[in-house]
Amino acid sequence: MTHGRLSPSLRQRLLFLLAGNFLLLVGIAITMKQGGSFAEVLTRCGPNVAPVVLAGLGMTGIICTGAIDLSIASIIVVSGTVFGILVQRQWPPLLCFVACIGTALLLSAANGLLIRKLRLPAIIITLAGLALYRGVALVLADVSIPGFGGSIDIQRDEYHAPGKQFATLILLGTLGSALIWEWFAVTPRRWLALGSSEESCRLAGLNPHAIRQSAFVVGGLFLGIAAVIYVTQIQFIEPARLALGFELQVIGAVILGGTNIFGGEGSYAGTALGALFLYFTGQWMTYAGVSPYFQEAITGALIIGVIGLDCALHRKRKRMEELA
Amino acid sequence: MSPSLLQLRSVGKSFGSTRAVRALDLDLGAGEVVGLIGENGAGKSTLIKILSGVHTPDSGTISLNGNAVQFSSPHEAMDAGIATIHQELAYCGHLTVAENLLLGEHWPRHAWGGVDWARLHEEAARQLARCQLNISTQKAFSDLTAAQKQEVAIARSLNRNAKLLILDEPTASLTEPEVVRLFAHLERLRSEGVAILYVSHRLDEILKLTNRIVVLRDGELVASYRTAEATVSRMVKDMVGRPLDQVYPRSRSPQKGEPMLELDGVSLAGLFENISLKLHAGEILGLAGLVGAGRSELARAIYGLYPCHAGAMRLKGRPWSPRGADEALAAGLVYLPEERKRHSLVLEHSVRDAISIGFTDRLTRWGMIRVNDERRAVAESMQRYDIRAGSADQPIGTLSGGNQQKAILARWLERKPDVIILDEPTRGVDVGAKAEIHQLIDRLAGSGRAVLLISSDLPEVLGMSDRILVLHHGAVAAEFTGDAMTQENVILAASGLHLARP
Amino acid sequence: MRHWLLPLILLAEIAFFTALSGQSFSSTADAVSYFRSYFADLLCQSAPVLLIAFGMTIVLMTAGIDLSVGSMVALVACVMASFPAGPEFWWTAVPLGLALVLLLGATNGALIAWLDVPPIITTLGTMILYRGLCFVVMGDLEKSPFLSVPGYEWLGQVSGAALLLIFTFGLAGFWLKRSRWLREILMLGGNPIAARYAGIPVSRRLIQTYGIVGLLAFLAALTFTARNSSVSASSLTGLELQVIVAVVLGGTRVQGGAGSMLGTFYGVLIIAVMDEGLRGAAQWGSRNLPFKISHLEYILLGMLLIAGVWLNTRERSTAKTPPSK
Repeated sequence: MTHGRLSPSLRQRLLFLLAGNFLLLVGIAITMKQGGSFAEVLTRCGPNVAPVVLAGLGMTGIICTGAIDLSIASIIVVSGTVFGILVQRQWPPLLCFVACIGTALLLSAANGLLIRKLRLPAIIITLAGLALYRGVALVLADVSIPGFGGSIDIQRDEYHAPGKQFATLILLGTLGSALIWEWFAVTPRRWLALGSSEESCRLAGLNPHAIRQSAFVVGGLFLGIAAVIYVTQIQFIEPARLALGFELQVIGAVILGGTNIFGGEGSYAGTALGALFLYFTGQWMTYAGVSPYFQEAITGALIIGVIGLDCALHRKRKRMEELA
Repeated sequence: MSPSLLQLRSVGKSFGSTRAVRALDLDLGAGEVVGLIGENGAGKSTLIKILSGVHTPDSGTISLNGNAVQFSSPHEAMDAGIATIHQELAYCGHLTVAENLLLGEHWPRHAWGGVDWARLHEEAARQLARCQLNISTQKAFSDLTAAQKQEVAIARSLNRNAKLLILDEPTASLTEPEVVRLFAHLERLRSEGVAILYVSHRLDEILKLTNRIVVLRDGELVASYRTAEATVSRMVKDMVGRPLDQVYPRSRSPQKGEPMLELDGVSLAGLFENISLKLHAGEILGLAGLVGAGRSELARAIYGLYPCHAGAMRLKGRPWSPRGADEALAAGLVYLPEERKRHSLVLEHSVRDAISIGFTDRLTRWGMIRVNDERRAVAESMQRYDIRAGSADQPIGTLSGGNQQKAILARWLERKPDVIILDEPTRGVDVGAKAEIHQLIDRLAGSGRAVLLISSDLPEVLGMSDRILVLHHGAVAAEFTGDAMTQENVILAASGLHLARP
Repeated sequence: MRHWLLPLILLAEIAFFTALSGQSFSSTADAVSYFRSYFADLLCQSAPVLLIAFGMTIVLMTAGIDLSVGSMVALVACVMASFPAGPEFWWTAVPLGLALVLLLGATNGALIAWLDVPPIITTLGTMILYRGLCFVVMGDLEKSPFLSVPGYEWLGQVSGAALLLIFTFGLAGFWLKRSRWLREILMLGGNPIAARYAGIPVSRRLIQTYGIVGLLAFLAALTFTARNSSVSASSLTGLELQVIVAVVLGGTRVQGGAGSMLGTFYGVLIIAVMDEGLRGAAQWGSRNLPFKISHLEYILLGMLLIAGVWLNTRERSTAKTPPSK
C-alpha cells in the first residue's frame, strides 16, 4: 500500500532516475573495454558516492524546509582540519572520528541558529559561512600545528578506515537508517510542512523556527558522517583547497533527485539516486572515452536541463496565478 | 435564544485615523447560524480578524462561555475554540490529507517509536467520517478540489473542538452542487451545537442558511434581526443606508460616442465565458458582480496580461489581441488594478518614481529621462490630482491609501489614454479622496474617454455608471440601464437569483 | 548614512593597513609617490572585480543573483587564450570572445526569464557548466598569449583600466542613473507583479540584465588577462563571492528594488584594500600572530557579508514604517 506520501511528480522523478541509473550501468557494461571489471565499478561506487549521498541527505532536509546551506564544503574543511589536528596529536582514531562529526554538527547547528536569530535568508548566512568557515579552518590549523605548511599528512592506516574500508558499509547503514527514519518519523514531515506553508504550521501551533533549526541539526549529523568519509579517503588535508565545489555537487544531486528548491517536496531516496545518476554519468563518460575535462560541463548541463524542464512545465499556470 | 456562547461588548479597532470597527456589541449562541453582511469596507474583515486572533482590539471585551478571552495569535483563538475558514486556505500541498488534518497533533506511534501510518490514516478517516466526508486520506492535499480543501479545513477545526466556526465568503470558488453540500455540512454542525458566523455577499445564501442576520456599516452594527423577518430589499437598505443621488457627481450629458472597446464572445477557460460588451467614448460602463465572478480576470485579458481562449476584441475599431500590457499602453488603454500594494506599487520607491513610471517613456532622450521635465510633470500631476505628500522624494508607502490611489491614477492618466479600466478605484480610500476620485472619473468620461468601472461598492457603481453589466460565475447575467439600475436588481443578478432580462 | 560611512571606512582601512605594513614616510613627496603607486595598483588589481560588480549590482536590483560570473570570465579568457597571439588576435579572439560572453549571459537570462528557473539555481548550474567548458577548452594547461598581442598590455595598465572604469562607472553609470531602463529594473526587482501591470517587458529586461553581466565579464576578462598575462581553467574561482560581498556591502539589497553603483564602487575597494592590506601586513603578522594573517580574509569576508545584509535589512525595515501622524 502506498501511503500516498510521494507526490506523483516525485514518484515520476524516482522512476526516471532508477531507469536512468540502470541504463547508465548497461551503458557502462557495454562500453567497458576488455580487462575492465564490472564488479569493480560497483564496489568502487560506494566509497566514491558516499560523501555526496550523505551530505545530500542532510541538504535534502534543509532544502525541504525552504532553506539552503551553501557552506557545507567549508564545514567539511573545518571538520577535516579538526580531525587532522587531533590525528597529529595522536588521539585514538575513534575519538578523532567523533570529533570530526561533532564539529560538522556544531557548525551546521550554528548556521541554523544564526538564521533564526538574525532573521536573514539562509542563502546569505551560509554564503558568508562558505568563506568564514574556511578561514576558521586555516587559522585553526596555523594556531594548532607548529610550522603548518598548508597540509596535514594523515599516514597511519587506522585513520583511513572509515573512508577506505568501511565507506560502503557506512553509506548503506546510514542511508538505510535515514530511509527508515524518513518513513517513520514526524520530523521530516514537519520539514515538508514548513516548506510548503509556514502559515499552516503556525496555525497548527508548531514553531517554524524550531523546525527549520532541526533540519540544520540533522543535516549537520549527516554532514559529519560525510565529512569523516571524505577526509579519511585522502592522504593530505589541505584546508585551502579541500572540497572546493563540493556544495555544488551535493545541491545538484539533491535537485536532480526531485527536491523542490523552494521547499515542501523531496525525498532521501531521490537524493541518493540523483547522486548515483551524476556519478554513473561520469563513469560512463570515462569508459566511453569522453575526456574527463568534458565531465564537469556535462554535469552542469544535466542539472540545468532537468531543472529547466521541470520549471518550464508549470510555468504558464504559475504566471497567471501570480498576477491574481 | 440559546445561552450566549460568544459575547462582544463595545469592541473597537482603529488603524491610524480610520476606525475600522467601533463600539461593537455582538452575541452568538451555540447552535446558531448568524449571517454577517455589509458592504466592502464596512468592517467585516476587521471583525473576523479580531475574532480569529489576527488583530487585538483596542477597546472592549470578548468573552467566550462567560470567560473573558484575549488572543495574541490565530493559534490561540483556535485553541479557545474559534476556528476561521478564510477564503485563502493555508495548507501543505505536498502532504497527504491525513497529515494536513492532524498537523501539530500527536501522531499515533508503534510500540518502538515509529509513526503508525495505518493508525494515523484510520484516525484521519474517522475524523472525516464524523463530518460525513468521503475523501481519501492518502491523497496529496493539493490534488483536492477547492470544495474538498474547504471541507477538510472545516473538519480539521471541528476536531479541535471548535465551538464557533467563522466562514469568510466560503462559496466564492465553489460550484452550485458543492455549495449545496457545504450547506448540508453546516446544517448538521448547527444541529450538533456549533455556532456559525457566516460572512458573505451572497444574500440568497444568507437567507437560505442563517437564523439571524447582523448588518455592519461603517464599522458599526446597524441592524440585527431574525432571518425569517428579512427580505433582500431590507438587507440591502440596511447595508447601504444612505440615499444615492446626492453623493455622486454627474456633470456630463448622457451621450454615446464611437465604440472604443468591443468584446465579442470572449472566453478564458474556468474564469469567464462568452462575454460580449461594447464600451463607447464618453461613457462609464459599470461592471458589477461578486468577488470571483470574473470581473478582474476579464479586465486583465483586455489589458493583455491574460490570454483569451475564444472570441474577438476590437479596440478603437481595430482588432485587438495584445500579448502584453506594453501593447495596451501603446494603444491608449490603461488599467488600474484592484490591489494597490500587490499590483501597483513598490512601497519604498519615491512618489515621483511611482507616478512617472507610467509616462517617462515619453520624456526620454537616448533612453535618459529628462529630469527637469519629469519633475515638472510629476509636480503638475500631484497638483492636478491633489496628491498630498511632504515631497515627491518621500517613499510612496508612507502616503495614505487615498493619496497612493491618486498617485497610481496620475501615473496612468498622464498618458492621456482613450480607454480606462478601473478596478475597485476607491477600495480602502478615505471619504474625501473617494469623492475626488469620483469627480475625476466623471470628468474623464466628460472629456470623451471610455471608462470601464469595476466596483463591488454598489452605490458607487450605480451612482457613477451610465450602464451596468452584471457578471455571475464568469458570464454576463444582466445589463441594466436607466431606471432599472437599482440596488435590488444588481444584487439579485449578481447572486444569480434573477435571470437576465434581454 | 552610507554616503559618508563607506568612504570613511575605506580611508580608515587604508590608514590602518599602511600603518600595519610598517611603511614610513620621510617626506610629503615620499608619501605622495607611495600613495600614487598604491592607488594605481589598487585600481588595476580590482578593475575586473569592479567591472563585474557593476553588473552584479544591476542583477541584485532585479532580486536575482549571478553565481556564474567567475566561470564566465574564466571561460572567455580561456577561449581567447587558445587563439594564436599576434595582431590578428584583435579581430579573431576578441570579437569571438565578446559574442561568446553575450551568449553565455543571455543563456542565464533566458533560463531565468523564459523558463522561470530561479536565478540562484540557474547560475549555480551555469557556474558548473561554464567552468566545465573552461576545462574542455584548456585542459590542465596554462596559456599566456596575451602579452604577445600588440597593445594588449595597455588594458592591464593604469590608463587602460582607468579608461574602462570611467567608461562603465562614469559614462554607463551616468546614463543608467537617469535612464528609464534602470527605473524599470528597479520596479521589477521591487515588485515583479506590479512591473507586469505597469507594462514593463519583464522577460526582456531580465535577459538584457544578464546579457550586460556577460558584456562586463568580457571587459573583466580583458583587464584580468592583460594584467596576469596567463589564464588556466581554474582561474578566478570564488570571484562571485567576492563580488557579491562587495555589492551587498555597498548597500544594495539582495531582495531587489534598490541599489547604488557608488556604494558598489566603495564596497569593492574596501575589500580590495583589505586583501592588499592583509598581504602587506604579512611581516607584522608573522611576528605578532600565531597564524598567517592572510587567512583572516575569508573570515572577514564572511562577517562583512552578514553585517552588510543585516544593516541593509534594518535600514529597510526602518524606512518602511510610516511616520506617526
